[in-house]
Amino acid sequence: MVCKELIPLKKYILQRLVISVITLWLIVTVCFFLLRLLPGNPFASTTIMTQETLDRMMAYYGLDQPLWKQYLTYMGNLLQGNFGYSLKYAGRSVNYVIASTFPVSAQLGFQALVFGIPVGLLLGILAAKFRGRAMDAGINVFVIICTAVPTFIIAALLQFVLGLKLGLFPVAQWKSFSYTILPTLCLSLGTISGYARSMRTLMLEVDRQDYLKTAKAKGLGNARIVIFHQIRNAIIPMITNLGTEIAGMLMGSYVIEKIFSIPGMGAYFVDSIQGLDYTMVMGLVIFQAVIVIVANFIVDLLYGIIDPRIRVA
Amino acid sequence: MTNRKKWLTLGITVAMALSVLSSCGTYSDGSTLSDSGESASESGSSTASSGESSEGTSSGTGDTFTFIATQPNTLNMIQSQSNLDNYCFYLTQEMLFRPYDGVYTAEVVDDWEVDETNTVYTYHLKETNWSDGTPITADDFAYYLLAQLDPNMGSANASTLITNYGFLNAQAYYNGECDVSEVGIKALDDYTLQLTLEKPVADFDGTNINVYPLDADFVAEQGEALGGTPENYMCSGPYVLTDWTYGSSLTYEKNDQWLLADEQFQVQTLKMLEASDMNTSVSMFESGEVDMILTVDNDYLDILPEDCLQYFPFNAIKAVQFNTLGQGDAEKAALLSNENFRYALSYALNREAIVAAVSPTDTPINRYMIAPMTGNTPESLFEDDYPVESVPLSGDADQAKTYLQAALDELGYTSVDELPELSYLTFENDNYRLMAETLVDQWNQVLGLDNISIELKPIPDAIQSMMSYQYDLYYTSLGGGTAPSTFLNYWITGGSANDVAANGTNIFSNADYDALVSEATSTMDRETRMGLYAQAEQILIDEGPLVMISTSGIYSAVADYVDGFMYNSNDNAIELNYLTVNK
Repeated sequence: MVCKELIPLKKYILQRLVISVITLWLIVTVCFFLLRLLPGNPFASTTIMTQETLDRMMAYYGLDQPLWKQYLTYMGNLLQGNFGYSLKYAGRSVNYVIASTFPVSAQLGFQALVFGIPVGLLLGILAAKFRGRAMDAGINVFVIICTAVPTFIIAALLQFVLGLKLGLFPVAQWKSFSYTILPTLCLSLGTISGYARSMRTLMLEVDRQDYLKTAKAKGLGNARIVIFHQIRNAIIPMITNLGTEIAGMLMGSYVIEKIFSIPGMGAYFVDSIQGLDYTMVMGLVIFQAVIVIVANFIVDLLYGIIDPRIRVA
Repeated sequence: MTNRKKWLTLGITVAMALSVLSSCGTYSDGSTLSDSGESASESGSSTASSGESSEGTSSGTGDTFTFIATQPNTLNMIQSQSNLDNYCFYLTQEMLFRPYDGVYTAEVVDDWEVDETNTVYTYHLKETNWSDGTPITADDFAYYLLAQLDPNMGSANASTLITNYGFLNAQAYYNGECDVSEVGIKALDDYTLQLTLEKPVADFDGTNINVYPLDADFVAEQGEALGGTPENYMCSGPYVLTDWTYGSSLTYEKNDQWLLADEQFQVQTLKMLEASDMNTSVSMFESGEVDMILTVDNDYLDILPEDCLQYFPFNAIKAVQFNTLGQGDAEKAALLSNENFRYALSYALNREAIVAAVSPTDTPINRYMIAPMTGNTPESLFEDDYPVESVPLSGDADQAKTYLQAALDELGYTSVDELPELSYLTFENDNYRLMAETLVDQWNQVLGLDNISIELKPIPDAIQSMMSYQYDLYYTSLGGGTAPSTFLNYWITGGSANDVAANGTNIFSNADYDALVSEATSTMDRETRMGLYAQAEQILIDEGPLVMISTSGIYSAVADYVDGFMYNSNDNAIELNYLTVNK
């Protein structure tokens, strides 16, 4: 039997770093060329623009240059941390848009996760503990509703009932903590249902494991078994997706941000793609890619530490 | 083991830091997103206490007017292409003449004269200041126009300025063929501005042009950042923009430096909110969070109380445009160029029913190639004074069938089944799709045509296809100014909607039409001019590549405690000049 050697932690980190940089470069390059292949131009609007004007606009923004030249210019600016200015919204630098909208989306996403994950886990645990009973059925119905009903309908319903009729929360905008409650609630529903479903399944799987039978045979209390043995073991597989999920949530939700008039990143993603705002799309994609890569890098790293077998050469 | 503990500690620390950051908040009124409040105070503008953000669900006192409208794309006055931007310019800039409800009144202009050739306009200006107290000079007004003609400034407005006003050497300057000093836009001294036209422009009366001041040094200093934030934008008008949170809100504070500050725009603070979801907008209006919604979607007209809805017509027309070139296919070209076929499609449409079902904010039209807000006087409407002949509003199915048969006979078809396949290109958007389905269905029901398929594309893609003539039928919307020529010029040979590729490829060409429009635009006598326009319009109705559908408009929801709200699409402005909020 050949015993494979463990890669030292520093080398492992370096490897992951190099892979991350290459991944990012690939994303930037593919995205740059794919965007240019899309039909249309960033200056098209519903008003008539003459070809002469269009040609001048293309020349002004350097879009009449050969693609390779545009690519080199873009990469040169990118290496200096300059995403450029929006082609659609003159005067708005992509850096400024990211700097001003990301904190909003990140706060909303973070609040939704902080609220959604514990609630989801709790519901999953309760559903598993009370399997087959009314509690389990009730939670299942709630989870199905959260999954099946589109967010914009739930959002409109919450706005109408809690905002307009009961006057408990503002209907929209982003002015103080009270304004964040309804959108946080809406955004967290997906997380709650996802975690509740997964946690229930994992709890039931763990329930059949030998170590749990041993714990019961040892005469440990029910609460102790659930908390220290069942939940602890069930929760580990869920960490895997946490990195990607956090990254996704932090980048904003188009639907929620539109409905609640939240000045986050989500709307920019969709609007800039629809309007072929090359610089804005590139900036946002690169930023999201960096977030996802960093999140995965950290998760990989943590796994490498927690489970050294992953670092086997 | 020690390493693991370190990492775990690090993880917990990061989580706690994020938690703390989160609790700090990123709220748009909390100045995290914008520190523009500083710029307002630096500029010396008036910032009354009512400008402070209102918490909770109240829109504040009568000193504040809170409304929902779409945000500007940019405040770069050179590169701006959108009406939305102009709403902001109107509120924040001085003007030579300020339009209100379609009438231009001198603001910065103290006195003006035109020479006997009707080509040299000289304006004597009042002394006035930017909101930071520095004087505005004639150079600033001249630069606003010149910068848009400068080929190196990325402006898309040059062709409009050249076509509508024909400033001396403007085209040559735009083409890089002459120096800026040769253009007919000059500041003779600090308070005298002179505009020289290449030839008399009958529809230009010396006042009906929107000219704002723009500081050349400030533009150079800002570079690409110009107009991106309140810090990169200079104000001089009724209000100062103090905060702009992208996708959320703009705040304007009254500018006491403005020339007419004591007479107009008495509301101290304007808060313009963005709420792109109409359900949210209506909920905010009903809960009293906002005092006005500028544009109410069709679906919500029945939900809101009737007495809060105000209708404002748009100066635009919507029509189905025929690509008479047939995308290089001779058979298609013959069909799409055939007058009887076009008449058949036009007479088959019951415009009243279509508009009522699909687009209640629109008004059905059967004749206008120029929008009904154009060419009117305070006493009478252009359409009444200069009538033309066209199809009945409710259509005429029998007549439509007769025209179709005539078309089939002329083109040598024995039945509609032999007609070539046609594609109707339109935007990938619910309203446009619904309109397309309705029109195609009526053509099918009335004429038995099943050769027209709908092609939905995203807006940039659809525009590109239109500009490269890759369509058979295209649903177009054309806007114009106060003069009929702004609509009729689209369809002259080489016109911007006609020869959209600017390479001599016209979908409509008629020498008589061109001559009439040309003659009209240089005929100074109004009555004769309008008569010529009407004749040209009749030619376009009879022979042009269009089937008119409707003219559009908007419904605004205005709270009952708000008086004096005015929106005029001709002026391109939300006019709050005499607004009062009696809340």
